[in-house]
Amino acid sequence: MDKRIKSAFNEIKAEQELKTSTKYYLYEKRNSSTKPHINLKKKAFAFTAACMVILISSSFFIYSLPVNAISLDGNDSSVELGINTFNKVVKVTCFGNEEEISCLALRNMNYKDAVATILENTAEYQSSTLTVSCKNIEKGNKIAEEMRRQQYSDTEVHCHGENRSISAEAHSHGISTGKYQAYLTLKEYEPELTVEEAKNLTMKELRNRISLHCSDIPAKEETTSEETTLCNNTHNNQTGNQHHGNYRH
Amino acid sequence: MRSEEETNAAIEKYSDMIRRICMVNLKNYADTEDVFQTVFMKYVLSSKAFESEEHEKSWFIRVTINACKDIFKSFFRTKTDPLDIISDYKSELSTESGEILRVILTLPEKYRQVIYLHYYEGYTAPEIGGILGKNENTVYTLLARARKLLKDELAGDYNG
Repeated sequence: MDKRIKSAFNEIKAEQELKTSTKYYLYEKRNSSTKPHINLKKKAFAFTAACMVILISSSFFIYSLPVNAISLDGNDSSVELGINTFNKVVKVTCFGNEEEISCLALRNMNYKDAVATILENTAEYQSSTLTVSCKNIEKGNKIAEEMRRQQYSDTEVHCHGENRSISAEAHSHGISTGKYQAYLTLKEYEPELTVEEAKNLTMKELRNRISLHCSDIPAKEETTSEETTLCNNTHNNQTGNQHHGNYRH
Repeated sequence: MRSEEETNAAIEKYSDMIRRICMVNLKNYADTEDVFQTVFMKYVLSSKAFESEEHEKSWFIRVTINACKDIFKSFFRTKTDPLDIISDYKSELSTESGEILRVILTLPEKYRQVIYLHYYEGYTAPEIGGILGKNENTVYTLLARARKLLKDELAGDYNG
């Protein structure tokens, strides 16, 4: 019986076509596996990671980008706060008096808190001029209005439209954007005025000289919209001072 | 991954054995093709170093039997009559061999496997127990019952 069973199974052979098809199947599998094959999960993970990096980088960039500036100009020094779109201080630039400002840890503070901190902790800026420089004049006016509402005593508040080149120029001359804008306004009336001369003037002196020229303008004479805006700003500020009785001009 | 040369050599060496195991365990030729591909794919991907030829052979037997079991678990398998399996076989079989195979293939699966491994491959009961994952005594019992069934089916010529 053993021999019969063995003999019966002995006749069973693998068909040649079966061997060939198996060899061909393995050949195909080998070739497809040598092609660069990146697991779908890994692809998805890499894509998600890339998106996260871009998102975090973009968020960090947007957060760190100053879109408005608030300059506080005292008698001898100035400080400029770069404000981001979320109203947080992301940049602090000092023009003199760096030590006193650097210890205040103003970064990431809301601009209102930052200004209040500066005014409460430094003597220099108690009688200062606060200038809001902004790309969007409406936003700038809102910030300026907010600053006025804070009722900082002895602090004048102004608002200017601003572009990056004015800030860059101001900083290249070593003065704040607010003071530089005041200089540019005064230069309209006093063309011979130089930056160096303006640097030696206090912000109040600059503003007073601007006010003098504005009061000289006849009522019917045409003025540039900027002059009107600026003169109106000064005038309104003075008017606001009178109404609130909290500002000295 | 094993080389193409190594794999082709294994195909030439073990394909007859795998074919026989497939005949014992499966119901149709299409499943046999699937098992061949599965078994040799595992061989290609396996980095196992075999201690001897016997070790390699028993590895192939175990993997083939497991691949056949997986086919049976498949929802889509089709039931086939054992006579069809033999007629599926494309080469000529002698009348006597055909008859013996028909009888063997009508037995339950557990007997077919031990009959093949013992009577054809020459494994002992302990070795069969190791390959199939069964107790040695169980294998002895299965062999004894398988012999009795074969004796009853195949008239008079059995010398156990």
